[in-house]
Amino acid sequence: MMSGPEAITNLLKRIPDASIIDDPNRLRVYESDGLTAKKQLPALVAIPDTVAALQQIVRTCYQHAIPVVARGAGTGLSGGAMPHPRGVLVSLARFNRILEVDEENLLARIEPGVTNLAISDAVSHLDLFYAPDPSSQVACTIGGNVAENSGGVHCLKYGLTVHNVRGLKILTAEGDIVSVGGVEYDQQGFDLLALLHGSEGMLGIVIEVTVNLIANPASVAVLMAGFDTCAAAADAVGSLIGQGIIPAGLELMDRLAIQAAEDFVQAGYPLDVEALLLCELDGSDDDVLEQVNLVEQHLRKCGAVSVTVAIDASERARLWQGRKAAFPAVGRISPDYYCMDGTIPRKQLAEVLDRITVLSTEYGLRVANVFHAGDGNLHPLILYDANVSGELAAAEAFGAEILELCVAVGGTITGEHGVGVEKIDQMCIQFSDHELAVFHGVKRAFDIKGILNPGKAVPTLNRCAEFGAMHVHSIQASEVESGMERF
Amino acid sequence: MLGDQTSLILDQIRQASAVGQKLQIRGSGTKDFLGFIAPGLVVVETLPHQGVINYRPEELVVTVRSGTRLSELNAVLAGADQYLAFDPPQFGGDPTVGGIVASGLSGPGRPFRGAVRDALLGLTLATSEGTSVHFGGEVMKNVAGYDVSRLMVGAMGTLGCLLDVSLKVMPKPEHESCVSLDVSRDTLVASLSSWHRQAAVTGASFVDGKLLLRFSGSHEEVSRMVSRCAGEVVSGSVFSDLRDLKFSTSGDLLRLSVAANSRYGLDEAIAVDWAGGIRWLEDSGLDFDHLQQGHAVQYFGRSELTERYSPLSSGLQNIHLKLKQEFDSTSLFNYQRLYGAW
Ligand SMILES: Cc1cc2nc3c(=O)[nH]c(=O)nc-3n(C[C@H](O)[C@H](O)[C@H](O)COP(=O)(O)OP(=O)(O)OC[C@H]3O[C@@H](n4cnc5c(N)ncnc54)[C@H](O)[C@@H]3O)c2cc1C
Repeated sequence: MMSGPEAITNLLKRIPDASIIDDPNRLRVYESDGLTAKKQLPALVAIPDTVAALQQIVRTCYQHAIPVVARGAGTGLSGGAMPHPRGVLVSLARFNRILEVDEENLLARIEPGVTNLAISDAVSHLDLFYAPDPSSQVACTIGGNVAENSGGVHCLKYGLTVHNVRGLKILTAEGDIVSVGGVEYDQQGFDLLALLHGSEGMLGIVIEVTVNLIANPASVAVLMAGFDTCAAAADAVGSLIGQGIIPAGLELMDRLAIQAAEDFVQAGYPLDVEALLLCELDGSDDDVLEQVNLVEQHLRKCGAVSVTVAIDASERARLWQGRKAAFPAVGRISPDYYCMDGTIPRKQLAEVLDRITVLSTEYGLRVANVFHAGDGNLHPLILYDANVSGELAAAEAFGAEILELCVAVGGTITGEHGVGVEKIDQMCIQFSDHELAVFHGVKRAFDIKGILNPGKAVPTLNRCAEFGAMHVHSIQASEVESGMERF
Repeated sequence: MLGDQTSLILDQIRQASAVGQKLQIRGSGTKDFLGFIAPGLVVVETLPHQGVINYRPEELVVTVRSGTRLSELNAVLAGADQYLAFDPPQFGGDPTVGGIVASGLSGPGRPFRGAVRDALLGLTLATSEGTSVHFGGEVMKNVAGYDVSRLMVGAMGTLGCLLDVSLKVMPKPEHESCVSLDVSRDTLVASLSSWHRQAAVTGASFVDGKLLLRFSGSHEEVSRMVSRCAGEVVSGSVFSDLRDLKFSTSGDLLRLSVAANSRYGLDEAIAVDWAGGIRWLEDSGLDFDHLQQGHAVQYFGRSELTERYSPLSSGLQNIHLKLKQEFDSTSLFNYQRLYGAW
C-alpha cells in the first residue's frame, strides 16, 4: 500500500462492519478469479456488511489514493477481479438480498452480490424470469454481470445484461451514491447505464441493480442437430438466422466438447458427430410448433445428419445441462484450459474455426469449441498443462493469435468476458491511440485519481507503444520461421 | 454532392474549433423543436453525408452514414423483409439516422422490442478535436473498452458528431394486427400491465380514451390474440400516429417518463405510451422543480423555457459535466441543447 500502510490498515479496520482481512493465508482465497493463470495477493480484503461500511472504505481509499478492486463471485475469466498488490479487494458477497419484486412493472431490485440464478428462482412462482443466463449462473453475481455485460445462451433473443437492466445505484470513486436510470424505461441525459455495463469495476461500484423480468414463454422446444463437419454446423447458423428465424438460443459444440460434456453429465449427446447445434425456440404454442418444423427442415437442408426435438422440460434441461457444464467438463480432460471470447460476424464462423484448427496443430495444443454461435461469440478452450514448461506461454500466444484473427475478420477481442488483465495488449490492436484516449477521458470523468480497479481493461498509450514494438518484432521473427503469410 | 463527407465534416469542426465558433449539428431538422437551440451557432449539415455502407441481412446488421434518411434505410431493409425494431418517430418528416441515434427516441414498441440504444452496435464519431474515432462494431456482442457508442444515444450531439452508425436489424414479423378497446382510466394501468406480459403484444398504449394493442407473430397467434381481446380491429397507423404525436393539438406538449404503474400524471394525460411508462400532457404548466416522479421533456410550447429537459440529480449532473469536459470542453457541439450549463 501507499504512504503508511499500517496506518491505513488501522483506519480501515476501525470501520464498523467492514470485516477487514490481512492474514496472508486468508488473503490467498482471493488471489485470482476464474483466470487462474493470473495471481496476485491483495494488501487487504474487505467484506463489508453495509453500504455505509463500503462507503467509508471507498472514501478512505480515495483520500489516500489506494486501489479498490470490487469482487463478486470471482468467476470472471479475464482477470478483472484480480487483486492489486497495494490495494483493497472489496468482496460484495454479503450484499445478497433481493430487495423488491415489482410484478406490475416487471422489475426486481436487488443487491449486487445476488447470484444470477437466484433472481429467476425468486420470481419463478410469478411465472417470470431474468433472461441473461451465463453458464456460471449458479455462482456469478449480478454485480459481476453488470461489470462484464455478461451474456448467456438465451441472449440471442433476449439480449445481454445491458439490455435487461433498467437501473443501477453506484458508489463513485469519491464514495458518493448515484442512481442511474430507475423504474422508467428511459434515462435522462447520457446513457450512463450503458456506459457502466462492461466497465469492469473501473467507473463505480455497483451497489444495487434494477433488472427487467420477462414472462415465461408459453411453449419451449429444443432441437439438437448433429453435423459431420464443424463448418456445416457453423454455416447452418448463419443461414438459419438469414431465414428470419431468431431462436432464443443457438449454441455450437465441437467433437471434443461434446465428448467431454457427455462423459461429465450424460446429456444424451450423439458421439458420432463432429459438431452439435442446440437450438431453443420459444413463444406461443402455435408459433413454436410452426418454427420447430421450419428449423428442423432447414437444419437438414444444411446437412444435419440427425435432429432430435425435446419439448418436455426435463429433457430440455438435460440437453442444456451438457452445454452449461461444458467448461468444467473440459476442465476434467485437461489439467488447465484457457477460454477465449472473440466475437465475429456469423458468416466467418466456419473459416475462423478452420483457422483455429490449423493453429491448434501448429501450437501442439488441443482446442475444444463450445460457444454462442447465434451471436458469433466464440469460446475456443485451449487445453494446456501449466506444469509442463512452456505450455502456458504457448497457450497465451495461441490465444492472442485467435483474438487478432477475430479483429482481422471484423470482430472484437471480447464478446462477454471482458478485457481485464488478460486481453489488455490486444486492446492496442483493436483501438487507435485516439480511441484509447477517449476511454481514458471517460475514466477520468468518473475516477480522477484512478483508484477503481487500476491497470485493467484499458491499456495506457505507453503500454501499447511497447506492445506494438514487441509485436512487430515477434511477427517478423515468426514469419521468418514459418515463412507463412499472416492474416 | 452526396456520399462520404467525413473529411469535410472533420475540417469544419477543426476550423470552428480554431476560431471558437460553436456548432449546431443538424440532419433533416425533424427534431429542431427538441431541446434548446442557442443563438449564434453555425450549422454542421450531416444530410449530405449519406449512404448505406454495408448491409448484410443474414448478419442482421446495417451500417450507414449519419445523414442517411430513414425512408431510404427503411426501403433498403424492406427489400430483405427486415426493419428497425425500435421504430423511431418521424414527426411528419424524414429524419436522418444520425438524429435518430443522437436523440435516442423510440416508438411505441419500445418496452417489447427494445430502444434505439438496444439496437446500436457501433459508431464512428467526429470528436471536438476533429478526429474520427470508432467504437463498437458490426458484431452482436462487444465488451472491449467502455461502451462509448451507446453513450451517444440521447446525448443530442453534445459529445460529438456521429459519422457512421451500425444498427442491429430484425426480420419483420410475419403478421401484425391492431385493436382498439374501451377502457377506464381507473383500470388502465392494470390493464396495460397485464397485456404487457403477453408474448405477442408489441404495443400497449392509450389515446382518445381507447386502449390500443398491437399483436405481432404468426397469423394463427395474432388472430388468436385479436379474437381473445374482443376489440375493434383498427389500422396499424394508430401506432405510427401516436409515435409521431399526431394526437397533439394545443401546441404545448410535455413528455413525462415514469414507472409504468404510477398514477402520476395519468388522469391528465391525453395519451399514454410504452405500456404506461410515457404520459403525454397538454398545457401541463408543470414546473420541473416540482416534478414528483420520473423525468420530463417539454416538447412543444412554453418557449420561455430554455431548459427543456427536467434537471438531473446533483450526482448525475456532476458526471455529465465531467464527461462533457472530457469530450468537448469548450462546448463546441450543440451548446445548451440538453442542459443550459453546457
Ligand atoms: C464455468 C464458467 C462459465 C462462464 N460462462 C459465462 C457465460 O456463459 N457468459 C458470460 O458472459 N460469462 C461467463 N463466465 C464468466 C463470468 O462468470 C462472468 O463474467 C460473470 O459476470 C462474473 O461475475 P462474478 O460475480 O463472478 O464477477 P467477478 O469475477 O468477481 O468480477 C468480474 C468483474 O466485475 C467487477 N465487479 C464485480 N462485482 C462488481 C460490482 N458490484 N461493482 C462493480 N464491479 C464489480 C470486478 O472488479 C471484475 O472486474 C463464465 C465463467 C465460468 C467460470
